[in-house]
Amino acid sequence: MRYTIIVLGAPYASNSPWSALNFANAVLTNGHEIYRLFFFSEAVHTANALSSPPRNELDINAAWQTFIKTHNLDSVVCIASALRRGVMNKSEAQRHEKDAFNLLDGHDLSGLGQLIEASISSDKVITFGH
Amino acid sequence: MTTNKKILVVKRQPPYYGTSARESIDAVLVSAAYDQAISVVFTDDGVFQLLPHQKPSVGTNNIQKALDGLELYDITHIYAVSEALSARNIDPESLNISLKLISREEYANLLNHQDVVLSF
Repeated sequence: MRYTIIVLGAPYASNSPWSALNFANAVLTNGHEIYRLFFFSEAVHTANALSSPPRNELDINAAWQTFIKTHNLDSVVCIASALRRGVMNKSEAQRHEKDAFNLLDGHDLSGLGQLIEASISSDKVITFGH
Repeated sequence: MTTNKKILVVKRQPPYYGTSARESIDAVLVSAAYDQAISVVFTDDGVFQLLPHQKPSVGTNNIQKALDGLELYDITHIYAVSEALSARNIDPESLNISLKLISREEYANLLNHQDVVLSF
């Protein structure tokens, strides 16, 4: 089966990104496919490259990045959600005249259309809430 | 997009608490733009979005404007769960948009008939 996984909650404020990662792992382990990951609303913080938890804590952003890169997955971060929360790539930083950018490699900024397209193209859509 | 799926957006959060109320409407409008069979349900604290005469503080966008977008985009399958309204003492006759009241049972039935459920 083809899955799309939507994450809404932020790391540390919610267990949502952690639960979603465990689920995503189970999806692949059980022989299914992940069509797209979509990080919306507060979950855009999962794509913040500057997150630096202490060494004895799980680095959920790094864990997601490893998972995405290992399995060559399509991970989309909602651009509208990201910009208002201060997560952006280089071109958006330039466009908004900011001095820095922090989008974690492996994620792409794009619009809600990607969420709807993924929902249409997948067999199952699972949302991990706030 | 040639595939037409039944997409249900569930609104469970109150307005003005974070961005859920506004961002979920964006998801509804994009679904409509992609020509999908979109429905919206207000339940749990989401029914607070339906209160009339809202006066949010200066600098806060009134959710009413975003909800008016539903009519503009011709979205007609809009529901609110009766039990959620009565539990919060909200008069079903005084809501700010036109919608159909459904029971919890009818809501469960509605969920069963969807291809995609997006819960915000």
